[in-house]
Amino acid sequence: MGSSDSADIVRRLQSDDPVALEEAFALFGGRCNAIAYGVLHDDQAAADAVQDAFLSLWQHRHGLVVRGAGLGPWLFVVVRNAALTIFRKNSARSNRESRSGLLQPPDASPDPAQAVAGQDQAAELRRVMTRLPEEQKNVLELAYFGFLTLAQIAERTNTPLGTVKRRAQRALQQLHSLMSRHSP
Amino acid sequence: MITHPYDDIAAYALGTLDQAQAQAVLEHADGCPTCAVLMADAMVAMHGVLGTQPERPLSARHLLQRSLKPEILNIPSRTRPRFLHERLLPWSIAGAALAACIGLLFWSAQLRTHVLQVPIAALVHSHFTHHPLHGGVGDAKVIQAINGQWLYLVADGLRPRTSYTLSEVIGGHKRTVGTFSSDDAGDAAAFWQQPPAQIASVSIIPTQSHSRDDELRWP
Repeated sequence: MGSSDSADIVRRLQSDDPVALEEAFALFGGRCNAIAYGVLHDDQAAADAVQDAFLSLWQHRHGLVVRGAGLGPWLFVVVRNAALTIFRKNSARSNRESRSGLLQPPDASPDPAQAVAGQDQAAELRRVMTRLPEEQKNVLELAYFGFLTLAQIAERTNTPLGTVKRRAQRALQQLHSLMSRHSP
Repeated sequence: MITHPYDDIAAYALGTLDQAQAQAVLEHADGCPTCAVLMADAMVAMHGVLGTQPERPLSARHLLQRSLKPEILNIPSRTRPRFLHERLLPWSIAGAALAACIGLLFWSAQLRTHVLQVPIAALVHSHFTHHPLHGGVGDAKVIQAINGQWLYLVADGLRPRTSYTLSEVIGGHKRTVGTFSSDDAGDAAAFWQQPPAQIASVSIIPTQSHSRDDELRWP
């Protein structure tokens, strides 16, 4: 999937072409599903998150800006947000947080192959994170692996929300820089 | 003065905003090219992490249906003038019909939570019409493809937790399309596909009833 194909899909989406949405779904649906499943460990819930993400893509198509990497980054972030929304709603409903601790993964048994892929990804991220300043690393740890919101991180770490936001911003910049250096 | 959510853009990319905040950031970026570019950059930064995920095929059911929620086709009103001016006539007709269909789908607030998953191609590539059903207890409408290839039923005020049968008349012959059940509130929504045909009439009736007084029908 080249970024030129992505650009063509974006252009046609912005011309209100629903077929472009189906093409985006065919091209990115599988990876979006993997990301959602990595958060939810539930096929039906992951499918719901994927649908929410593609609904967002359609709703926000006119303001869409994608960079050189194409449509993938936009969709992957949006589907993860959709999955996290579902996860947080489910957590609130079942009070899972108070029973098993916020940093525990979802209690469903994940698909073994997906679990291995997720572990590889997590290991790579943790390896890169070791090079971040401690406070940025903490924010990333709680955000990415703990599925916490910034407000929850601020409360948990007893840090002003604005400070947590700035740390998150810097952590993301650093992460991008470090991951770019490590990519082949 | 416009307030730009600069701090929230990275937070969105990290998945650390709650649903309302996340929605606000996305909507702001829709109308703010500066923030849209910052958002795109932040998303590319996260791509280094998320983009390494291998594919996980969607379930067989999902692949077969290739379905997306019908709201996807609810083109916002601000896009319609351009849409109507720039597109060829068939697309304009289809767009207007789609907007009408989506309006019908959501005509009851209670039905929002009961929207079925409709194969996207059925809506995108079809022209369709709708029929209010009269009689009996409750209100119902059937949205059908012009060529009869699919039917979408939405209803409220039916008997709660009751099985209903939807029938149609094609070529003078009445046949059962399928059954569906109302929920605790008497709401129902159901979708069927079938071979193309000219549908002359549609009716629903509680499956256990044989009384015409219980029937809702069109015309």
